[in-house]
Amino acid sequence: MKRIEDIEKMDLDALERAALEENISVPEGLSERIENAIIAEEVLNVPDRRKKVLRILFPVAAAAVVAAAIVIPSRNSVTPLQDTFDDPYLAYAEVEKAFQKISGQMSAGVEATELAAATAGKPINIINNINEK
Amino acid sequence: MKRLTIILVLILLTICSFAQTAKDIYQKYSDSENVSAVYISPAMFRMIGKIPDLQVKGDTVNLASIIQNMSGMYLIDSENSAINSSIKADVGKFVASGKYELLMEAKDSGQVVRMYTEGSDTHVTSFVMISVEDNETTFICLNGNINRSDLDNLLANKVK
Repeated sequence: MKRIEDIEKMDLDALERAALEENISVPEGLSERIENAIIAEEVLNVPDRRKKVLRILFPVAAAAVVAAAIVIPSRNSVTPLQDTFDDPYLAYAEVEKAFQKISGQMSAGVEATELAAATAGKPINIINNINEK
Repeated sequence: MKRLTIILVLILLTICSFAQTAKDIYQKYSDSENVSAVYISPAMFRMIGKIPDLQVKGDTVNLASIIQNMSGMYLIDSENSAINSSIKADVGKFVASGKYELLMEAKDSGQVVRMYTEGSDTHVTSFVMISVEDNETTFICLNGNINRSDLDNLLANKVK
């Protein structure tokens, strides 16, 4: 029987050799117990992972549910819009006014573009005039 | 506490991410002070289309064919400086949430005008204009199935 001090001085190869030489019986059912312990550990770890995922997903899901609960009923409860005019002639006049506004703004944009084009053409005209001379 | 804060932030982000529509913008601002708002429904457009003598005073553009293919119009004209920037932001979100493409942008002496269209090469299903001046912001949204060349003609020739 070796003492602990002797065992501590031995290197790994010597320990392995000593273990193989000595006739030590493995306790009955040890490998089974080890396997069961490993399986139990794995089983216990799965809920932990699930818990982590749930911990991340919970705020997102809760936010989505609350936001939907706020937005969807408020959208559905909105009463249909009322026409501003009952008279189609008045409505038509307003549409015409809207088109006048749009086309006025468009014309202003086109005029600005034409002005810019004319300004951009000035250097070309100057160069052409110089070349002609 | 930390989790609650995260949930509140996520709720706000989720609510903000719900797409704006022209109707939402109209409903949000139409009752505000110094705001004139006009809504013309698809039913009213059908009635306008039945007006027998539908003609335009100008000699270059005929609105009749365009109006008969329109299904809705929202107009917000605000002189309320407290909400003008909010209208601009909401219209920006609305345009970004759809398949709008910029038709024109003009900037002149502090005034910014942007026009957007949605639809195909031949037809426009929605037209949006936002005009921002010093004290006035105008939002116009026209929906329907308008022939693109008719709309181009209309916009190219000033309506008188």
